[in-house]
Amino acid sequence: MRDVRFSSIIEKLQAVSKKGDGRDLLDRVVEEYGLSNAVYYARKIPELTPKEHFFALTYQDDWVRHYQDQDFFSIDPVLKAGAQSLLPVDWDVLDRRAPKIQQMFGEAQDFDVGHKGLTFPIRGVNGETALLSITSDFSDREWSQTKSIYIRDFQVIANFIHEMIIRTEGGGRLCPKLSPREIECLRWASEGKTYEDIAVLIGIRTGTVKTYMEMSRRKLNALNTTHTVARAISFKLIDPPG
Amino acid sequence: MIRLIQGIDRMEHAFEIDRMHTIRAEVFHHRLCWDVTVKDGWEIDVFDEQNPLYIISIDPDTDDVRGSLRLLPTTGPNMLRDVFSDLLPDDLEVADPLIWEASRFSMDPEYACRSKKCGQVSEITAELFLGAIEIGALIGLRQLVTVYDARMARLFRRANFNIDVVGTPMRYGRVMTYAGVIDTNQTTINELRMASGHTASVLEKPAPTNPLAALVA
Repeated sequence: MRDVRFSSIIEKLQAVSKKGDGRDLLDRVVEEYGLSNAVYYARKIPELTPKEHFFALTYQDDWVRHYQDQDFFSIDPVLKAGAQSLLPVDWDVLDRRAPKIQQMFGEAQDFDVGHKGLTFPIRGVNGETALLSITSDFSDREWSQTKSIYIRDFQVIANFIHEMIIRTEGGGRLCPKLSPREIECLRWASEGKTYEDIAVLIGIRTGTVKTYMEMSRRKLNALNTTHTVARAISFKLIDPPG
Repeated sequence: MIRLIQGIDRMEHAFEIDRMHTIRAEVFHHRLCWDVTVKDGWEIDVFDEQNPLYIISIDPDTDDVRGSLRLLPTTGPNMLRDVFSDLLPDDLEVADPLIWEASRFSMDPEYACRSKKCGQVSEITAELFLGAIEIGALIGLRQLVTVYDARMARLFRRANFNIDVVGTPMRYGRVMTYAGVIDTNQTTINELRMASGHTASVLEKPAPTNPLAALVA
C-alpha cells in the first residue's frame, strides 16, 4: 500500500498555482522520499517549450552550467531512454561505455547528483512527451530493496508533476472540461451511489460508469472516486451533496 | 513464463518478435479470417510501430514462443481510439497515462492444443493475462482496456477475469466486438491466480543488463 507521503505529495502538487512554485515542490518531493535529486524535463510541449527545452530540477546550479557547457544534452542516455522507453528506466542498466557518457556520469558525482537513478517517461494526453528522473545515493542493497516502491509511486507522481508544470508554467488556470455524462455520474457518486447504482439510475453499463468516472478522475487529477468528487465540488462542477 | 519486450528492443529479440508475428498471422488471418494485413508471413499493423510492450509467453524448456499480447498506452495511437471508437458513447474517450490497452491476444495453435489446463483455461492463456496485469500493477497503472470478441469473452469468463463491458458491443464485419476494462491491482491478480493455480509471479527474471531488470525483482 502507498503511504502518507504519497498522498501528501499529490495534495501539494494540486495546490501549486503560481509559476515557479513547482520547482520548490520538487525539493519537497526529494525530501519526503529521501532522494538526492529530482528533474522534470520536457522536450515537446508547444505551450511550454516553443524554442527550447523546459526543465525544473533540484541539481546544483554548477552542475546545470557544466552540463550545458559540455553539451551533455546531445549524449545523455537518460534523455534518450526517457524519450523512447515506455517503462521506467533504471540508470544502472544504461549503456555507459562511450567515453563522453562515462565522463558525464563520473563528473556528475562531483556535483552530488546521486549515483542511483530512475527515469519515468511521461506521455501526456495531448501527445506531448516529458520525463521525470529521481536520483539517490543508496547502496546497491538499499536500492534493490526500495526501488519497487519508487517505481510504483513515481509513475503516478510523474504524471501529476507534468500536469502541475503545464498548469502553472503554461497559461492560466483552466477548469477541466467534463462531459454532461461525466458530470451526471459524479453528481450521483457525490450522493453515495455505487457504480452499480448509477448504472441502473441512468441506464448504462457499470463498466461505462466506471470509465466515465476514470476519465473524470484523470481530468481532475484525482487519485480515487472520493477525491474526484471532492475536486469536482471545489471546481463547482457539481453542488455539494445535501 | 512471461518475457516482456518493448518495441524499441525488437532488434535484440528478433527470434521472439518473428515468432510472435508469425503466430499472429496464423491465428488472425488463417484461423479467425479477420481483416488483417499479412506481409512476408507476418501479421503486423501500424500499432506495432508505436513502441508497444509485448507480453510474450515462453516455453521454459525450449525457449520457444507460445503466445503473446500487446500493450499500448491510451495516450497515444491505440485500437479503441483509432479503429473501434464507435463502441464507446460519443462523449467518452479513453486517454489516461495510467490506463493501457491490451490487444492481439494470440497463442500458437500447436501449443494451445498441447497446453495443459490451468483451472478452466490453458496455462498459456492464464500466463498471458497474469503477465499483463502483473506488469500493470508493478508500474502503478490503474486499468487495462481492451477490444475483444466472443471468443475472448469466453476465455475471460473461464479465467475468472472480471472484465467490465464499456459502451455497447456491436458487430464489425462478422465479429461481435466488445470494449472492456479491468483493474490492474492485487485483487485481479489474486482472482486470476486462484482460477489458474499460479502461486507466484509469471514474469521472467531478466538478465541484469536487460533494461527491464529494474522492474522485475
